[in-house]
Amino acid sequence: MDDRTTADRDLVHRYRGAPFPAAGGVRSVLDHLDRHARERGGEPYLTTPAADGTERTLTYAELDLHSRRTAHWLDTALGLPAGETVGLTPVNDIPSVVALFGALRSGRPVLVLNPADPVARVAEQTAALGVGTILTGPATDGDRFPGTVRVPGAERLPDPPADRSPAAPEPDADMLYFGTSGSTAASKLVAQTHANAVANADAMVRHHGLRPGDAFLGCLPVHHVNGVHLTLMATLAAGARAVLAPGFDPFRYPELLTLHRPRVASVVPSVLDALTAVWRRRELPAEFSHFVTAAAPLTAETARAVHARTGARVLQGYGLTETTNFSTTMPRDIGDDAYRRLLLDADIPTVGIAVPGNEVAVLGPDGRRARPGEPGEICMRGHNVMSRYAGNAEATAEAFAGGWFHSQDLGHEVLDEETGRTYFVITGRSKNIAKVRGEAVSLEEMERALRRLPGVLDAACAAVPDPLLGEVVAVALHAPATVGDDAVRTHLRAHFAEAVQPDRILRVPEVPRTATGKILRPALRDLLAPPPR
Amino acid sequence: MTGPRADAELSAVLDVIRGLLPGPVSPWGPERADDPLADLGFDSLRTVRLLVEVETALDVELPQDRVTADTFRTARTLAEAVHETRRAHG
Repeated sequence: MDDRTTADRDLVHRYRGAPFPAAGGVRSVLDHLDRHARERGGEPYLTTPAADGTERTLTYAELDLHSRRTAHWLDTALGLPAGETVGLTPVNDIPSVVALFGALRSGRPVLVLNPADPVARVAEQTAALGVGTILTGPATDGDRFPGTVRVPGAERLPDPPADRSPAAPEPDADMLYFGTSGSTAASKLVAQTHANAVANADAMVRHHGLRPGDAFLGCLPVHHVNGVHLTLMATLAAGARAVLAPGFDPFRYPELLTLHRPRVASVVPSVLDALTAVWRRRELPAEFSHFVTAAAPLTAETARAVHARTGARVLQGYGLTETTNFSTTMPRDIGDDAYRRLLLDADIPTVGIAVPGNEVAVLGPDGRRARPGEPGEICMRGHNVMSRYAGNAEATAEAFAGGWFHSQDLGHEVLDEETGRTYFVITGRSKNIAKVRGEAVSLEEMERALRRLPGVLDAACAAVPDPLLGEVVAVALHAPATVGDDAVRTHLRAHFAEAVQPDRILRVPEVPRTATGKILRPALRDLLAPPPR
Repeated sequence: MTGPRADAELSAVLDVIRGLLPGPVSPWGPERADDPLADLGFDSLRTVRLLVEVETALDVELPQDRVTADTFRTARTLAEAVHETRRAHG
């Protein structure tokens, strides 16, 4: 690492000049678990309402005990080397959460994998980190990925000996790895430290005002950063209760809101669109404060529909896996006028203000800070910035250039004179990414996969707007009729998760490209624009 | 469900469904009335779109207790819910 890279790396993790991680204080989220197990062991930490209407609840004391048993099992029965990274294919259930905490308790970092991902994609990620063991709960297909081990139910596991308390992890040690939808899965694995998770959880507790006894409703998958860090870690830090639905079921969700009476519910915009369509009740429970949404752009129309139907506010947030989870979120303590001005009546609803622990700036191409209203790249620095891209020093140095994390998202600042705060608006992405149902997919990666299919002459993908899903992927395919749609779809299913499969395959005589061969993205989007209904 | 009005509702519901199908299904007609919508590619979000489009096309608002997974099992169950709602509010 050269001097400039070292300096960038130090700067990118500072918040108001303070080095990171700070000495003393909470060293990992396990410290929160220890404290709440002591102070409120009998209170619920996690409730999982299953699709069949049954539900299970895990108390803080149970999570503490079960994670210690699981850690002991990993050390002894499974006999994994100390500190070795393990994979995890979690679903939204208690065994998956216990397995996650068990691995962390045992001092092993966790590569978080999407259980629905194609085998080849998971293999790329495990190979990149040298992961040989993938933990899974009872609900997944244990034979899909080589190296999968089913974690036994912690109720039946023996207690660890009293003198064997696992060493607490160092704050700057790796905690979690997540793949991102970059150019290839293997080259972009985000390494997050324990201190990153503590910083994000602390910011979320303060920003959303989470308190012990609060219920927090989550339905997003826990193989994503949002599910892990907001739904699981922030509630843990607060001593609150996470209600983790198996997924978003439009017919069950209204009942979960009225039954569990959450103060905050974590969603994505497409969930809000579906909720406003099915919501026929009058009011949300008195405890309800707001929805928090991220992962895809919220439209003012969606926010207005939620307001009209339920009376509730939607606080939009923004962040990347590289910044642990959230960099900005709409504040909850603003008046109705400000909410209307910045969100409901805005051309593009704001993603809010920088959350505690990180600084957000809009930088011009020359690296100077843009003035309010002036477009530039959204950049962040602070305690939630990842450690690095695992095994990719070059990509890390590029991402941290100049002591800022470069999001490759475009936006501008809005100085709201009435509240005196600086808000951020995201106007576009400089990466070619589509977000379908909250799942990100690299269009370039899909194009490369399509061109590898024998017979395909050329292919290009675009994200096209969809009234319910936000956006969907459409493909322009230049291939002879002998390459059928079925073959194309089968090929894509082997490489991409079901949720991001293209909505439409349009046969074209040629893909619009510049003289130098670059895809003409605007022309492609016009070509693939949804047909009028 | 009997009578010409109920048949008209089933036919209208089938038309809306056809417009939302992820891919071609042939033949398409009353013989599909009892096909599970899930098997026709209706995931949860597509089902919500079906709710919105059926309500708009047939000018009806299903009450909360009809906005259920059971209602959206097949074209026929949906047409029945529409029919019952209209009768109750008619």
